[in-house]
Amino acid sequence: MKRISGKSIFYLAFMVVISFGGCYSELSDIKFENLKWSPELGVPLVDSKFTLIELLEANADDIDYTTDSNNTIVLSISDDSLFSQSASDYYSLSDQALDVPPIFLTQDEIEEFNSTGQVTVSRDILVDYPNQGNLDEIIIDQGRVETQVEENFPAIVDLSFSLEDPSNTAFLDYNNEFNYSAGNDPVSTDEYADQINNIGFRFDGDPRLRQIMFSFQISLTKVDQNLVFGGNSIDLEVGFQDLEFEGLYGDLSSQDISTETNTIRTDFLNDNELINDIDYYFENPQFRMIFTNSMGVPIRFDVNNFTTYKNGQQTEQPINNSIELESALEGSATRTETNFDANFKNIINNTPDSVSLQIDGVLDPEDVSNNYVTKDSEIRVGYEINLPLEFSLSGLEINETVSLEGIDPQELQYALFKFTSENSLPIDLNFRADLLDEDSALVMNLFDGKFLAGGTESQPATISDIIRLEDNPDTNSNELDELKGVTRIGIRATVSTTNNGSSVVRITSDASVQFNLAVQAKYNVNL
Amino acid sequence: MIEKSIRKFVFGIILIISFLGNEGLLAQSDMISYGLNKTLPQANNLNPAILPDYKFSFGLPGLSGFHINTAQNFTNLELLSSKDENGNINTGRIIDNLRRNNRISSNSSINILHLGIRGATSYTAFSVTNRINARISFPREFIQFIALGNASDQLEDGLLDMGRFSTKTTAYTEVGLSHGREILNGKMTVGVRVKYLIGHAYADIKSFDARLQTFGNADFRGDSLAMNVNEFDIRSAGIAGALFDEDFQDEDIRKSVLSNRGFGLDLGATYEFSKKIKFFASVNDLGFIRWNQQYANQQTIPAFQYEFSGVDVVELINGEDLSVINDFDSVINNLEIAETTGEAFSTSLIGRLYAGASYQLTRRQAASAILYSEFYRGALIPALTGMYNFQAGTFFNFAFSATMMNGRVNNFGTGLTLNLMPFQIVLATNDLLSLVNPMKARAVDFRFGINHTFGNVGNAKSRAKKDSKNTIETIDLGID
Repeated sequence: MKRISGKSIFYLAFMVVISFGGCYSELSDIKFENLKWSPELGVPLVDSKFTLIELLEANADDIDYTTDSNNTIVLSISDDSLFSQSASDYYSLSDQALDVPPIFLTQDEIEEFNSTGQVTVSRDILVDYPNQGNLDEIIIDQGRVETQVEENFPAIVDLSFSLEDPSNTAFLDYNNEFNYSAGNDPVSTDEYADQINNIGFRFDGDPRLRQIMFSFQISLTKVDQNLVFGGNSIDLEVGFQDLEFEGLYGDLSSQDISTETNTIRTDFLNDNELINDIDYYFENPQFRMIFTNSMGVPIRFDVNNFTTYKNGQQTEQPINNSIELESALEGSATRTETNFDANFKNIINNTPDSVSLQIDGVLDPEDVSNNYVTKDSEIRVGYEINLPLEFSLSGLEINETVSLEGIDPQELQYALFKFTSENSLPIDLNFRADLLDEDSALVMNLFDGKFLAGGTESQPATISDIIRLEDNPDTNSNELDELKGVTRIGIRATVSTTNNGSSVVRITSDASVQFNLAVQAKYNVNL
Repeated sequence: MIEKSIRKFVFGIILIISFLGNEGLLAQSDMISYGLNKTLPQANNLNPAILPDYKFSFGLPGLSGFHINTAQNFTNLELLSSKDENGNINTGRIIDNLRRNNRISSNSSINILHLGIRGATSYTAFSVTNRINARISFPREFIQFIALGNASDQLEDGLLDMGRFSTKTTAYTEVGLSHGREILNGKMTVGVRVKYLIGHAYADIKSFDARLQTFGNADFRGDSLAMNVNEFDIRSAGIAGALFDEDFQDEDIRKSVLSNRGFGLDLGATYEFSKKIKFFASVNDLGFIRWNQQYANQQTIPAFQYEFSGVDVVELINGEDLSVINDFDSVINNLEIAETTGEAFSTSLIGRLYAGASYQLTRRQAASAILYSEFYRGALIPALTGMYNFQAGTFFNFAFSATMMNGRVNNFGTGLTLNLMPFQIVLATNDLLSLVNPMKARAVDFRFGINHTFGNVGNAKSRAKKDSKNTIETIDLGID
């Protein structure tokens, strides 16, 4: 075996060192820089399935909805107080003055005063509360009692009195000392007022039930003169003012009901400036008037006519319908509902701008003698519009612009927006979105096409499309860069029922829209 | 507060270590040490039947060396620094070169103490070695997902399948006592090493089965997302398990790293078929570590699914709570992680088999063929190594190896021992290509150490042979 020489080992070592050196020199050339991270991310954004009812719940607080026996959605617009007036608009309590007799001292009382220099006198007097018209009973809810006292005794008079209603409840207390100085005019006056509440009087039976008890306590102290019989007195003027009733019972007079011409809005669509003129036809719209009476008085309403306004033109549609409401039992109300569907169908399908309803009426038209009203009694007229969604619609166009602060796509290489819709509603929705610059010039059309296609529950219509924005290095086309000049997005949505509203469709509560939106984007990050 | 920070830091370190692990990557084989067996005392660790030529050797902490092997199978510096046509780092090429299963492993052994005494026909050694083995394996889609995003068309069916993810980390200290001796009048040697193992830390995630799928088609990817995670366990023990304990105290550190016991066994044999031909074989690391129940922890994460296909705009308009958020909250709230504590468990060592033959070309040169296999999860992973060895007494020993795996030669190793009296320097690598061509390196394998060696049995035997007329065989204890 040949022996390995030191020379060989040297050459081998030299070659190893050279080759190692060559390889390791590459390490110094390594540069870990310009690392570009370009992830592509795909994220679903929207996954919604909604029925029209769910959409209404989300957007229209003032529209109620139900379903009919065919499961058709019925929109309801109502106002239960299109017109309302309370009993106090027709009936009231007038001010009253009580006939209180003057108070004189008896002969014995005068002699006691003259002999002892002092006398104390008590008097109880019943005074009738006057009836107003031909009422059986009144209950005063609140009001004011004003008293004026005048006395002309040449003595010091300490006067106090109280008033009690027929239920023996005191509602006013008076106390005053009238001073007298020798040689001066003995006439003194005083005034006093107080609030009153819940005082009732009956005029149809026991007289005590309409009387007010005055209880006087009078103490006289001599100054320098004796008294003479019949020469001095205490005079009271007592008045009830600013009265409001709790209840009036008896023969209330007939009253005309004066209504303003009330306008019922049917322009809830046209009211929106974003929405242009639309054509629609409702197959079975319903208009119901609801009359409510909580007075103890019969009422007759005369619904005279609908007046429609369209493009400044006024058209009257006579109705001439009388609505009778019986008097209500106390604490309850009578109610009558009357439909004017045929009239209303003509009116609403003529797409009016607004509708007025002219109503007259009279309280107690037969002038019966046994009526009542309370402070809570009222008459009320409301309406309810029910629109079963068995209809056709076209020309509903929503135009909107959304301002943008400017879109900076930065290092976005592309963005794809994919939407998918599956629609079982018989409604088409076309959508156009334009990107505009500050001069409203079109920068780019983002989308123009059908967003929803009308389908049925058994055969939903599906649409799927992708909106692509791309910085394409192969074509030098950079749609994303154009976004920098965009300041607004112009949106136009056109809605119609199937076949552009040429036939009547029916929307059921189960018909729905499934809508999905997802984005896929590639972003370049230089690390 | 500080304790909490320290605890978090330690836990973080363990997590990082756990992420340096991998399974099935042939990085632990130490072929080149087998080739240097005559002069490298640590070669006795591979085969206790190998009797080094030194009469006496020892290695001290910090000097007797270390062996570090870190490897991965999916990239290299050339790939990582390559540029595309725009001058950017060519991430596309890096990703294209990913494998279906990508693995990283890190194995290190540090000799704390080594003591070897050579008898005339035997060798007895005592060693203390600290070992850390960490492996992680992850699928190609994981990197694709991070680098390219979930909508990349490179994700097949938009699927990120983490079913091939696993990780395992073990740290332990091995206290070994070996004895080998000649039998059959020196024609054969046999040896055994009994190892007492002290487990320090263990963590693994087996059978992690999670899928994230982005649904779509060739034109658009992102219609919906679905995440599906099957039940999986995070098992830990030692200091790693102790960190899960809310009542963890500083004094638990020492106890948790020292209270796990295990045993291991190495068996070896050599047979001198002729003067020139010798056969040898060894089986290493037959054993286990029993992890103390006090610091054993298993977190069982239950299966959960979540699908996301977008937000319900009606809910959004209505100002309602979003059902997708509620669903996700529900998934999270129902995610009751079951913690099992107080149950000891055992983990086996990864057994290895070396078997081969050497042919003595000349007095100083030999050629060997070595078959290496790992026993891992019931499978044998074989590799065949050819070795050239040049030995000039105990002064200089050089070995060069070529390893064939999967039908092709894909690795070279080399190493040498140089005796500079009174200490020996060891330099070796099992991955020469990575050193020669670092740009294409997939691994770093390096052994360095200083052993203190005394005597040369070969010389002594030679002199004894020369002095064969003497009635008493003498052995030279002089420094060689």
